[in-house]
Amino acid sequence: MSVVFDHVTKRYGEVDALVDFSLVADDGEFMVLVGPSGCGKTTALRIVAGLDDPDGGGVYIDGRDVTDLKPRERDIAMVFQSYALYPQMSVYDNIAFGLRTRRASKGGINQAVRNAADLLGLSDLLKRKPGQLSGGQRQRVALGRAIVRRPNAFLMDEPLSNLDAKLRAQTRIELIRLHRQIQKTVLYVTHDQVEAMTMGERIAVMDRGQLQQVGTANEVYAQPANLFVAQFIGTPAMTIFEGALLEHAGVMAVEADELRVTLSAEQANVVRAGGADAVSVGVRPEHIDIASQFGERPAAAAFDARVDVIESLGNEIHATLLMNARSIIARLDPDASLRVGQDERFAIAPDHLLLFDPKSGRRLG
Amino acid sequence: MSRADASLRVRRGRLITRGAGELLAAAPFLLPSLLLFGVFVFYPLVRSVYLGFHATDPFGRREVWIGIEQYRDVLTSSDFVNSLFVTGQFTLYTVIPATAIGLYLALLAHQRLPGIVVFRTIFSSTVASSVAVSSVMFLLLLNPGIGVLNYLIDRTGGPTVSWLTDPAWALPAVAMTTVWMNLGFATIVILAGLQNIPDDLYEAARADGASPRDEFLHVTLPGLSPTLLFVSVVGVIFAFQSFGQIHILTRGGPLDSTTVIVYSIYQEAFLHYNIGLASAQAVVLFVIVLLLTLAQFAIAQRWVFYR
Repeated sequence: MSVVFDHVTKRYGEVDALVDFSLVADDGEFMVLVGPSGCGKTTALRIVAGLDDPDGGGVYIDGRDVTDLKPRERDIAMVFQSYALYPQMSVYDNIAFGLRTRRASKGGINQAVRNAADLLGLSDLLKRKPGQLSGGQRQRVALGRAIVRRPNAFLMDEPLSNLDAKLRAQTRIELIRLHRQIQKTVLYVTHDQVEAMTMGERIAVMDRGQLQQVGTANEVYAQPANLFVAQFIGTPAMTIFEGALLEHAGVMAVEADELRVTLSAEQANVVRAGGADAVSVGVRPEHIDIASQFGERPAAAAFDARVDVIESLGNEIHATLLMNARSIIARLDPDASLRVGQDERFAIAPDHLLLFDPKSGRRLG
Repeated sequence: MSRADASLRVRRGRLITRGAGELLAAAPFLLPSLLLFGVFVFYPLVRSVYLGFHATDPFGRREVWIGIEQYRDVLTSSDFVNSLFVTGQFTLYTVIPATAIGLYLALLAHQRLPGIVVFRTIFSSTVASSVAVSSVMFLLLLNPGIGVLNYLIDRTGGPTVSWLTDPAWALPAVAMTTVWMNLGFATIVILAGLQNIPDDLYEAARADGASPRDEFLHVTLPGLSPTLLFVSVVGVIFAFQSFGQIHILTRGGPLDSTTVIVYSIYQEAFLHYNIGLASAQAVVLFVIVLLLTLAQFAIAQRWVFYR
């Protein structure tokens, strides 16, 4: 069942939680809403659930206008960040609750609860109370409570954020599998871009109540619609150089402080089409390397910087470089022999530069 | 002796000296409350048990050991059994209505509405009025001739009641006063309990398709269970300790129909000057309240959920 936001707006007092928000999650799609806190992603979810009413616009589930319907009439299930399990009820009763409120038959409830418990590996825990479960088990009960009703769509509000890192990675995979099995539409809210990138079939990036971009993980990473998406998606964040355009002997360059970034002919055409006299250049950390590593390969720019911080992750190094007052993050080979405080010459690979209009923030090209 | 033993002994020695040092440092902080509790709680408690085993003159002096005789007298006297019965009735008449009405008012005051703070203040205001003031107020309200209550009954065509002088109505009238007095406390505590129930649970219930009745039964009541237990335990203790309103409204009458245990103790000690017997009653009361409270907690274990 598709879920559609049609020009939805919502204000809380002075704060615009959603501004003219339109989005379509297709039938069976795993759609992730991601953004910094306060971007309106949770508000969007609550409006689909019917826990909040929009000030304007409409919400459609499977083509049906549900804007004015009560939560129970929408046939959706929600998984909360806190799990919100009923503390006095056993696991069985927690899962069965939504069926009982809908007056399902006793045999039907029993069958449905046992099926859901089987699917989630909860069969041995049905008599326990939530207080006797681990965080991961509680999370699965919350999921069980959602899937048992076979709803049209699942709404999940940061369901993994209370789990420790290892369990979160595991549960991520379980959720992907679960979605493949039940093939229902999922709207999934998170502030964690790793979750967004790994789980979302498509990702809706939001900021200040507005939709910034919708696309697959690859699209939002490689072709971010604007500066916000470019800087929000990807860890460590990309570095932005803003500078004036220079053209000399048919070669175009951007001059940001003492850094001169040379653009390829193709990139230069894109910039010319944009018609601006300044441009912001985005460089992902993996496209910066020690200059000596480039050998014969051409570089878009080269600069001297001091190594300020080194974060070693085992398979790679994140180095924060200081070029005068500007800090630049590079993702380097773990064998790169760098010391903190060392002065070194670095270079920027020419192929993957992202070019933005500094005024509107939109990507050029 | 091995070296390990020796070092253990040295360390234990240090621990003991450190413990003593800490105690010395803690003493000035503990002393004021120990002193207060000692003078007003522990000493009277021990003294009551002691006096229960002694016959005394009207001033509580010239103590003569008479063993458990007075305790036996207390437990077999029809007066005491009556006061026990009255206390039981009084407890039922006060705890259940105060908790139920307090719950109702707290649910009303828990709504998010403009100006709700005014109602919260009104609902909880009775905590701020003393026993004496409340009692005198009700003395007027309950007055058979000029009281508002009889006036209202009369206006609606009902039979008026001699509230405080009719043996059938005196205890309900005193209980009514007490319910009013305890209502503020019950409302405040239950309101605080309501505010502790996470909104998530209500939202989950709504998404699960729960009706308002389902929400009340499966979210509100279980979430309030520790609070309701607390309110009822304290209510029972209040009921067993009630004195002021009875003294002002009925003085235990008519026909001992409002003589609760505490009032009976008062009469025994300060009207009949039977200090030993009064002490014995007080000890029996202490044991009853203790057992009741333990029983309430034991029963509550089955249905109270601490999150």
